[in-house]
Amino acid sequence: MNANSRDVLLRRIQVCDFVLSDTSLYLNIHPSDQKALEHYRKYAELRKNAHMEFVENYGPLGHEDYDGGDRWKWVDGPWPWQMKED
Amino acid sequence: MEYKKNNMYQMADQYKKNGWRRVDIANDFNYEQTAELPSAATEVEVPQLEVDMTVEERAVEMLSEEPGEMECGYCITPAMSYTPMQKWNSTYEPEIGFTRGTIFPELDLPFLGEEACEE
Repeated sequence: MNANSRDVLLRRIQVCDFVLSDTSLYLNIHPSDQKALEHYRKYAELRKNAHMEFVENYGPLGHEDYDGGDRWKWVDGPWPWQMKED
Repeated sequence: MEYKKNNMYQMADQYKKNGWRRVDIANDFNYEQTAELPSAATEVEVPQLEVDMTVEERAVEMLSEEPGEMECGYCITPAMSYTPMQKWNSTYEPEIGFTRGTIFPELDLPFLGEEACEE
């Protein structure tokens, strides 16, 4: 299986974050709305998978993604906000 | 009631003379056209207050209060809104929602912003 490109995964995470954020605002005033909760679960799962795939293939997205190994890979750029490798 | 209406017009004239503009989100409220409340505002359920006043009389009372002072030095009236609770309907596809700034089609509204006070 070909891995998704770095840009595709970053975009997916970004979009999922937005959907989750907007859904959370709705849930703040409808805490028991099952459809909204289902929507949240769906995109939380999508985000989690995209995040895992990104970290596996392109390194940490944040310092909390440290893999426990003997190298602090965060410094091995490009950083997430560097959209194109120079 | 007639006196109250006249009073309302007088207050409105005074507001306009001072360059104040009343902005109602329910509808454009034209002081010169009618003393009745905008139709959209009457359609929503207004919680019953324990005040023996008609909506119109309350409007008159609100108009006679001092408008809030803005930091920019202009005065506008404070606003009150009655808005229904949002319901979960369909949502945009994620990419569409991301570009529109909301995942809710019913909240994807044109921004027809106007400054509430001049300058």
